[in-house]
Amino acid sequence: MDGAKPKPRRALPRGINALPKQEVEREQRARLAEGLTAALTEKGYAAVSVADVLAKAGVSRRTFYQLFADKEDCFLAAYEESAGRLAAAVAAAYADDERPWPERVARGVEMALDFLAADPPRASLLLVEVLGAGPRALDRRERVLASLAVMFADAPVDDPTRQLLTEAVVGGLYELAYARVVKGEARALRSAKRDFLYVALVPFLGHEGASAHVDSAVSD
Amino acid sequence: MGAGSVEGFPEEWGARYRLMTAMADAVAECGYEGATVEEVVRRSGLRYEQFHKHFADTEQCFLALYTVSVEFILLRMARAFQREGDWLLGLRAAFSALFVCLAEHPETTRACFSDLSFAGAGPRRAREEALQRFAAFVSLCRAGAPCGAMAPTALDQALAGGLHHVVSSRVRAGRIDDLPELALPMAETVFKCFRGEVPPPVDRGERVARAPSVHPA
Repeated sequence: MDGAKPKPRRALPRGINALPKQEVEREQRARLAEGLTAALTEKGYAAVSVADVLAKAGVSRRTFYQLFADKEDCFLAAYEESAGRLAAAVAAAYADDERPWPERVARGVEMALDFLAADPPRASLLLVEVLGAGPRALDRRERVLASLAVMFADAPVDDPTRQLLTEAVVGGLYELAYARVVKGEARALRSAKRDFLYVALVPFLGHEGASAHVDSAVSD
Repeated sequence: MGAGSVEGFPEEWGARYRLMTAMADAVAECGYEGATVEEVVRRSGLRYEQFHKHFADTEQCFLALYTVSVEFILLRMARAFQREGDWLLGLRAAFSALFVCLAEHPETTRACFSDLSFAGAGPRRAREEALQRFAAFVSLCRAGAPCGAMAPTALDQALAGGLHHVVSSRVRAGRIDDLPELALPMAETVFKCFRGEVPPPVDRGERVARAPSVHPA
């Protein structure tokens, strides 16, 4: 997987040009999150140590422990940050306008795939590593998946079955993405839009309805 | 479950199954991290050496449990499916077998769904293989469906993943007892993907909930 090579690090300005404390902290948090994400591509969550994260981030151990209690805490922060951006991007793409539901779903799905394909280490953090990072990470993962279900709130289906159907579809889309990311093929997600969109639509529109929308959305 | 008890397997099946069962109980109660060799041995009522005669470590023991459980469930689903003449009735029967089986073995279900994720690369691969096998099963079932031949294979994989997600979120929420009620709605979910008219649910005394039928295509 790529993304493991350390990026050149810019020193934070000191003295009279020093950044306000909050900004320094934010920058350091972001570096540590990036460092952890990069370290995870080499070893996986269980084997990654705080020292690995520090080496990637170029941040001192003292600073790490000022900001995070431990590796899990750092992971959760990195996960929340990336997942929050993914969820916000998908929600914005989906709710962008008054188009019919299948077109809005197509935009939401496309946004999610582009987001994941753009940064494979981040995709791995979001989809693969989260499964091995402990119960708190799993709780957050469930909340994120539930937030992605917003795309199916307007799906044409009877209400009693909506929740289960939505859960199954979101879990199914997750699995399709997971299968590619775990093999190091996150970038290939972009070319798999047809499959993802078909899976998102077919339980609600049937084979013919889903196929027609996939054809028009993907050829656009 | 107490020491020496064997969930799902007759005692005479021997030490290997006792150890795997003890592993399920230990993971269900203590989490994967807490399921040490000592803990498994204590629960099995066997000796330490007997553990190492069968398994190199707890991961190997867990993987054996997981693999056997997947086989056991798939076998029950396949038999339930084959007993029915029609693909939709077969699908319902298979899902009923799946969910009833999961609810009947709560420790194993809890161990395989809620704690597998903490368990490293081996169990992760095992989960992936299990999902592939479920996808292959969906693929076989849908061969007789109206639109079964037209759907992409990605749909089978997605349905297996969706099923896994639905089950694991309930297991994590401590709702294993509710699983049998999902059989009919989940079968309908799969059915909707291969669209056609859903006949009214058949009450065959199974522990399945009545779900609203789908609109015809």
